Amino acid sequence: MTCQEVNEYLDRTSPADMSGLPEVVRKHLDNCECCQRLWGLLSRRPCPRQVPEPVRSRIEQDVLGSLEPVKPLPEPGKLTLAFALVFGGFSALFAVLMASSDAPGVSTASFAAFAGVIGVIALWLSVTLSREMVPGEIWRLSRIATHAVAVVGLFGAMALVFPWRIDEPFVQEAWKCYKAGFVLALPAAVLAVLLLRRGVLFSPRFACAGAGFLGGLVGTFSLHFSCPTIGAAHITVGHLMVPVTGAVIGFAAGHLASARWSAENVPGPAVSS
Amino acid sequence: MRTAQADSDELQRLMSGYQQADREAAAKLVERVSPMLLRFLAGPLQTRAYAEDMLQECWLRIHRSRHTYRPGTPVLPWFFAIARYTRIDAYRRRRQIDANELAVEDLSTSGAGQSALPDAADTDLWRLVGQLPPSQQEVIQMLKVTGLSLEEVARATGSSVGSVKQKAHRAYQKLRELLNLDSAARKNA
Repeated sequence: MTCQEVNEYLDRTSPADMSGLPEVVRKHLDNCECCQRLWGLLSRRPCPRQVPEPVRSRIEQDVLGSLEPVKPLPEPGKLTLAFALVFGGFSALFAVLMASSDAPGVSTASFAAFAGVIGVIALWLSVTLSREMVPGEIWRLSRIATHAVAVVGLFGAMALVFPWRIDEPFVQEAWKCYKAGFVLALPAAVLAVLLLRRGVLFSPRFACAGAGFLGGLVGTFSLHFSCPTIGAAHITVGHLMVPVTGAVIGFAAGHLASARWSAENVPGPAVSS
Repeated sequence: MRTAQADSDELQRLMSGYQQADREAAAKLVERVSPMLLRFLAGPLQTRAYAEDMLQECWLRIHRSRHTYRPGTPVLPWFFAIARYTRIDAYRRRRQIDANELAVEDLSTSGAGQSALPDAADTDLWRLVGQLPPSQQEVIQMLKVTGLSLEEVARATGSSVGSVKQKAHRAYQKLRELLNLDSAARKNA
C-alpha cells in the first residue's frame, strides 16, 4: 500500500477513529512515519469551540426577533421549468410574430437541428440558473465550464449548419438583426433576473451572465425563424452575438451589484464574486 | 450512540421547524450548528473576536436565506455554503479597509498574524494548515476540522467530489512535506 492509497482512506475516515480501518492500512501506518505523523496531526481536531453566551444570545435575538414562517423555494425541477418557460414563451411568441414565409436557405433538417440546439442550450442554462439560487447545490462542472459549454455548443452548431460565406451588404444586415435580437432578448433577460432574485446569489456575476445569455437565446431563436440570410458570418455577428452581449452585460451588472452590496457592508442576501 | 444519519435527520427536522417559525426549533438549531460554524470560521489566522463577529454575520445571512433551504436535502452543506461566502466577503472587506486606511487602533485587534487558539495541539494543526493555499486550507478545514463528508464539502464549495478529493490529496501531500521539514528542524535544533 502506498501513501497515495492511504489518502483515499483519509478522505472518508475520521483520523481519530481507527477502528474501521483495514489491516493493510494499519500496517502501512505502523511502517510509514510520514503517514503516521499526518494521521496524528489530522486526528488532533481542535477542541470544540463553544459559542460564548453573549454571542449566542445576540444571535438568538437576531433570529428569534424577526422569526416568521417562510415558504421554501420550489423544487429544482419547477425552478428549471420556470426559466425554461421564460425562454420558451418569449421565443414561441416572437418566432410566430416574426416568422418569414420564405423557405429556409438550409435543409429542413438542419434548420430544425439548429433550433433544437438553441432549445437544449436554453434548457442547460435553465438548470444552471436554478442551481445558482440555492446554497449548497451540486455542481458537477465549474461555473466557467458550465457557461463555456453553452457558448461552444452554440457556435459549434452554427459552424456545422450554416455555409461559410459573407453575404453583402454584411454590416448593415448584421447590425439590423443584432439590434432586433437585442430588443427581443430584453424582456426574457429581465424576467430571468427577477426569478433569480428569489434565491440567494453567491455568484451574481455568473448568475446574471446566465440570465443575459438565456435572454439572448430568445433573440437568436426568433431571428432563426425570421431572417432569410444563412451565411455563417452573418449568423455569427447578427444572431449569436446577441446572447454573448447579454452574457457580458449580465456579468457587468452582477459585478456592479456585488460591489455595491460589499461597499454598503450589507450582510445579505449572501452575495460575493 | 447517535449515528450521523440520525443527526442529519434531526437537523433537517429543526431546519423545517425554523422555516415554519418554530422558536424552539430555531433556538436548538442555533445551539447545535453554531459551534461547528465557529470552528470553520475560526481559521488559522483569525482572532476569536473576529470569528465571533463573522458568526453573527453568518447567522444574519442564514436568517435572510432560510427560504432557500429545501426540506429533505442535506442541511450542513447549505449552512457551510453560506458560512464560506460570509468568510470570503469578510476577507474582501477587510482587505479593502487595510488597503485604504491605516487604522492604528485596529492593529492590536487585527486578525492577521494572531492566533487565539487555546492549546498546543490546535497551534500545530493551524500552523501547518495555515501554510496551505486557501482552497486546500478550506477543504481540510471542512473535511477534517469540522468533520463534513466529501459529498457535503463538494456541495458547500460548489464543486465536484473529484475536485474536492484532488485538493484534499494535494493538501495531504503538502502537509507530509511540512511535517518532514518540521521534524528535521526539531532534530537539528
